[in-house]
Amino acid sequence: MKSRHQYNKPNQRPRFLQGAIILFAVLIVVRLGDLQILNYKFYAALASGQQSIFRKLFPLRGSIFTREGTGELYPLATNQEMSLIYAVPMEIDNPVQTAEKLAVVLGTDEEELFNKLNKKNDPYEPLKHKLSDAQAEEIKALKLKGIYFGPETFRFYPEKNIGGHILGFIGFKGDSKVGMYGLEGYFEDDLVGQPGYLRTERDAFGSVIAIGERSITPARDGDDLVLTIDRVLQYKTCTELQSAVKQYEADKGTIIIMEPDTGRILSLCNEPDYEPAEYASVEDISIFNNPAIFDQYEPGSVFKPITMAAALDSGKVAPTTVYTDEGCLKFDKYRICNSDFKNYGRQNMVGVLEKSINTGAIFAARAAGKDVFKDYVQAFGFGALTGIELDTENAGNISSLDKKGDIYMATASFGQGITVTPLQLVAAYAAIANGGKLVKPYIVEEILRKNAGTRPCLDQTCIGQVLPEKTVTTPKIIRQVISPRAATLLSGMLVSVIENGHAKRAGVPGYYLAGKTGTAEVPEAGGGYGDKTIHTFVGFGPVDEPKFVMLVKLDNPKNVRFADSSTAPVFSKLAKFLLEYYEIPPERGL
Amino acid sequence: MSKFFHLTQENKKKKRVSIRNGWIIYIARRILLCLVCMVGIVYLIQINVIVVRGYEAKLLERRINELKQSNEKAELVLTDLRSLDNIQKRTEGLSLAAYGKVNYVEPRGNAVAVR
Repeated sequence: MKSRHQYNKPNQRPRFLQGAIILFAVLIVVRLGDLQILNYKFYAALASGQQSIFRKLFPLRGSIFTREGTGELYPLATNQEMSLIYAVPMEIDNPVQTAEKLAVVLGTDEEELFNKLNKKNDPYEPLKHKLSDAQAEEIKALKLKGIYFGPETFRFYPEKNIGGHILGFIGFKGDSKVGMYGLEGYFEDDLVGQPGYLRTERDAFGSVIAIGERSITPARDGDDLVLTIDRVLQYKTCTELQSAVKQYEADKGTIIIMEPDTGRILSLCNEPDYEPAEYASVEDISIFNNPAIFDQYEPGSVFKPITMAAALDSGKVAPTTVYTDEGCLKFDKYRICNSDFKNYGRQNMVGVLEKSINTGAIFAARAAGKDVFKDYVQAFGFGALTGIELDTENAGNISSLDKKGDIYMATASFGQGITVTPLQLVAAYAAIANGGKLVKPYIVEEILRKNAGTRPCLDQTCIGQVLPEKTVTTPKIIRQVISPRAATLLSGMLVSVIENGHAKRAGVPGYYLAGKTGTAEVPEAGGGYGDKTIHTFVGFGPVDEPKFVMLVKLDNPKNVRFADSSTAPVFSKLAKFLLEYYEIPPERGL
Repeated sequence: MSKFFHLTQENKKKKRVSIRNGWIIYIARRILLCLVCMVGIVYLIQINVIVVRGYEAKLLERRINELKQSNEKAELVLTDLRSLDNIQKRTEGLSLAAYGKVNYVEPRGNAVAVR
């Protein structure tokens, strides 16, 4: 039996248990404080990665269209989604067998594939880009472990190399895809769009929770461009040019067709051209520059009408003004002769153009005067950019007209000693065709915008406003270069060049077409001129109401001597096509 | 004696009221509990329905994207077929003849008649 003292002695065990529980609770609170307060940011980020998705939304690049006759849009450059096949070598158990099966479908070297698949610590190895749907299905049917597919967007050019210089291509700057050259380069900021962002919650399986919190900034797809190019004309022009370059064994060629009243470029071709989707296979990168706007060359006799325009408009000569040709003219120690070294005797200004007499051009330039001549050359747009919306345009060089000696004006009067671009020549002849107005050439007819109404305009023309859904380019008249009377007179003289002069092969029966040939010598690096020539023909028609102005240029054709045998027939072929394409009835009996 | 009798009567009354109030509170608590359970069940059912609909919507969204992609691919095939290079190649086997002279017909006057 226990004593009273033993019964009254307090039991320590409950107190010990109480203390242990309190200590345990304190430890839990401390640990919770450490997790939720001190390391809050770390665990919040970790949880966020598990519980939410933060994804960048990539915009679709804008497309480039032409408008068909029906009004429908046809894409010259658009986006195509294809598959990328990649491997996770860490997951592949049997790389030999996998490489063997894949090599058959992909058509690649088995050993090369094996080397990629055999990297045990590698989490990602791309195997092939631009996989077709059929190939992807075939590989999926093999159910290979560690082989996956991902979508990739590529640029698709349905017309292949018809217009590579107009479009440009998508290249790489570092890791980013960027438009280069042509329209892809010039309009990169408009075409690329703007990325968006998506933040949403996901469940344990990684799927998006429909009723969960969601924050989305949608991506803005790039703007679309609609060109002034006529697809049928473009195709016809490029195939004719390819044929002409081959026939005349030229180094290269250019054809530009433009509407003289508006400046709309209807077709623009160069040969050699390149296929934008295969730009990486081009060996000489100088091909990426568009010769129609980049090549500066001495134009030769096609410049004589510009000289004549200056003299006519300033009232110093008339078509019937007569001078006496002595075959050659002397300037200090230099002698300038006619290209065929002939002496034409008494000639009027129409004869100067018909027979392409160098001394006659010098006469007209002298009649106008050096300063007046220089002013007209500048007024016609030479020595300045046309402002066309394509990358890598050059301005040409007319600085020789600033020099003191008369020889420089003399040589410039027949297109030597100065350099111009083919597009400048077309624009200048358009001014002659349309009554004397220099119009700005343009190639983009419309810009179609996505999510318009929310984007601010940054341009001076509309600053403070929002961008409209569609911007239509309006033709722009830069200046009145010559009077309508002078333009009409000159047009008539150029008709005579085709009817009676050196350019008979440029004519189309039943129509009055105007034009001029030019067989220009090419300067050599060390000075002077060599044997190479550049043949040019520029013309327009029908002369009463011109619907087109066209330039045909062939560099260094080998089996013909003068432009009337090379570029003039090409002009005639295309002019005939144009007149029938536009259904223009003949102006006279055949 | 009357004081105690009065007290007894008072107590009896209080006891009767107390028993009656107790029943009311008892029933009210039971009803409240049932209501809370019902609301909870309805809430769970609703959430479940929404989540299921959410998954269905996701499946439909996926289907829409697949159809969109399929449509885009078909359009690209059509675009390629409409390219002039393709048309040129396909017409080569048709033995088409080039046209000769083009005659333009000019209507004379505004009136026309059926023969």
